[in-house]
Amino acid sequence: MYIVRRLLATIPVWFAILTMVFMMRPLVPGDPVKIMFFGRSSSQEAIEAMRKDLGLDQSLPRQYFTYVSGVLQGDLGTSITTRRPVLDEIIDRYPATLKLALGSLLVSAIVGLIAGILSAVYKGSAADTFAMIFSLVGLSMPAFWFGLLMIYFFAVRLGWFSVIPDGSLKSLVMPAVTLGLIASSVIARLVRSAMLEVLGQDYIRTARAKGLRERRVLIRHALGNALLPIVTILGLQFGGLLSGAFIIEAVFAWHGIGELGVNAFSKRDFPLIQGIVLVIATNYMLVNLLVDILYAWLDPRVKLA
Amino acid sequence: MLKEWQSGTRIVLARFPDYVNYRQDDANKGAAYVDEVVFDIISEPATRTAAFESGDVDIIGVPTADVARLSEMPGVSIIAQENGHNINFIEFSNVAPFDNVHFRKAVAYAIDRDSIVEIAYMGRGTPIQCPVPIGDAAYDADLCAQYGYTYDLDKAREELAAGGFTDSDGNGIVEMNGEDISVTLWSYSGFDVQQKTIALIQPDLQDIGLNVEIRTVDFGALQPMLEAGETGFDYMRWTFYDQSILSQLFLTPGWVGQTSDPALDELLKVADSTVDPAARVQASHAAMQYVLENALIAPLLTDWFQSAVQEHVHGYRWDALDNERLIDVWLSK
Repeated sequence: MYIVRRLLATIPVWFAILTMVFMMRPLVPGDPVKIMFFGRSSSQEAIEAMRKDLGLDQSLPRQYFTYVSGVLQGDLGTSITTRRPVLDEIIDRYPATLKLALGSLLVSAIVGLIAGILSAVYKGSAADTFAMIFSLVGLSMPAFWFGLLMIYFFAVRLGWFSVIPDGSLKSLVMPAVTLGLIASSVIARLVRSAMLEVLGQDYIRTARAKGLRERRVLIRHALGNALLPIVTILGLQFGGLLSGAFIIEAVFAWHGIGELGVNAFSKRDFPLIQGIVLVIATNYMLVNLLVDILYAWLDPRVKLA
Repeated sequence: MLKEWQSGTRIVLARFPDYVNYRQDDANKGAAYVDEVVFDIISEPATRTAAFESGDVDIIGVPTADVARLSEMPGVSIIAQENGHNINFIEFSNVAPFDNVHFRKAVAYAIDRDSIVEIAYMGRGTPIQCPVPIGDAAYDADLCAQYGYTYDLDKAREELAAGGFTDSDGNGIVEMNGEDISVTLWSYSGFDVQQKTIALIQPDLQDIGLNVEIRTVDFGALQPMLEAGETGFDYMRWTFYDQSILSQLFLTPGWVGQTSDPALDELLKVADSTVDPAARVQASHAAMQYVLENALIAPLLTDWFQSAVQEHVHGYRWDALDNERLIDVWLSK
């Protein structure tokens, strides 16, 4: 019942997203068609034809109805720069983004969990200090700069990787590690604080008093109970990564949704921008939904709330 | 021949063995020497440069900031199109004080184009006085030297005085209708050189007695301001391959509705309707002279299109219309 309720709740949220995405165009300052044509030789006839093509010659309610009915039928419009359906452009790029999202989530989860657990278990030690300095650096370092450093050292200086990705697992390493290490900073801090809180609980003391092995106490009893906030942050990070890491994808020439978005913004390709924003928002919504369902599975009390 | 196309990602062209090349400006009149040309699309300039440095790519469009560094790499050539079809300029709206020709001339005289090219563009551009790009058929340095504007702050002050803009209270700012003139010089975001350029212009304008603020906004926000005449003056860059750039810019109502000049319209119509090339250039010159005499814009420079080319790549060049020619390219081991 809880899951059905949550599923039903997403419908109005999604329509609100759809409405906001549609409103991007009328709310953007300036004439979108003139902005699109800026810097290109164009006649007034061409501008009017484009306006008609985009349906901008219609009233706003009519445009909204056309847009919504199009989206419901899988028609997100046509890219102005490539003249291909927006949905095709996004579908072409989605596998690359999914690959990068999974790769970096794996890196961030492994590094974040290990650093967070070690930091909590050996609180106040050199390992704890190192892990927290590492996470502070990760939190404060701009992703753009870190990515360029990675390229400079590992591709230009050492020649271990190619700057241009070729779709292989090897070419995934640099962007996934860059994104994963940055994301792991948040996870490490969260795991540390959650573990410290749990490790002070009576049931942990009881588990140890029963003579359970420390690894079992940490993994099963402590981490299991500290998992809820970690699942939330992992879910949100995955949602963000699935939406395309705009800066990292552009830096690593990773041809995913993020890079597509950067190019669409720079070329003022409004239909493509709208399509990308809609997909990103839908991603977030679905990942949030999954996290909520996962929450209910991990903690049965949630269903009663 | 088109071999592969991944939208926004990569294009692969394969050699067409039966190709016959009739272009006079290419040495190779047959099929391309190379078997394939791969265009990898790398949107981030720093990554593009890194890909070149690592040897992943043979040729890149090189960002101005990286030209000096890459040219120091052994064997690397920087090949520039110095006679391109772009023009960077300051344009004026028709609101006060910009509707005063002396005010516009004062601004035009107060711009140090050489410093802009040297500092903002790191020497990778050519200062111009003409209101058309340096690669345009109508470009004429002598004509524009006669009617154009060179950096001269004294002349700028004289023009302000001639226009009735004086500093009566001695606070260093000239006045209009008894109030200190305060203006904003606009540019649009996404181009560092433009922001550097307006930052270089600002102190000279302040030196002649104008209180100048500089602002950069997204073009989407700038465009309606241009059309409403709210900007006053702004940095603009156009690329256009024909002398009709003049009518694109100035024919009533002008590209953002800020121009209305029947005398200029007549000159532009003659230029646009003349078929004989030499006569057309002459007609364009008449329009250019009018534009300069009325300081409708203040031309700044034509910036260079430039590529970095690895040592083993030979025969690469730009053509007269700013296209990269690859048909003469061959590779050495």
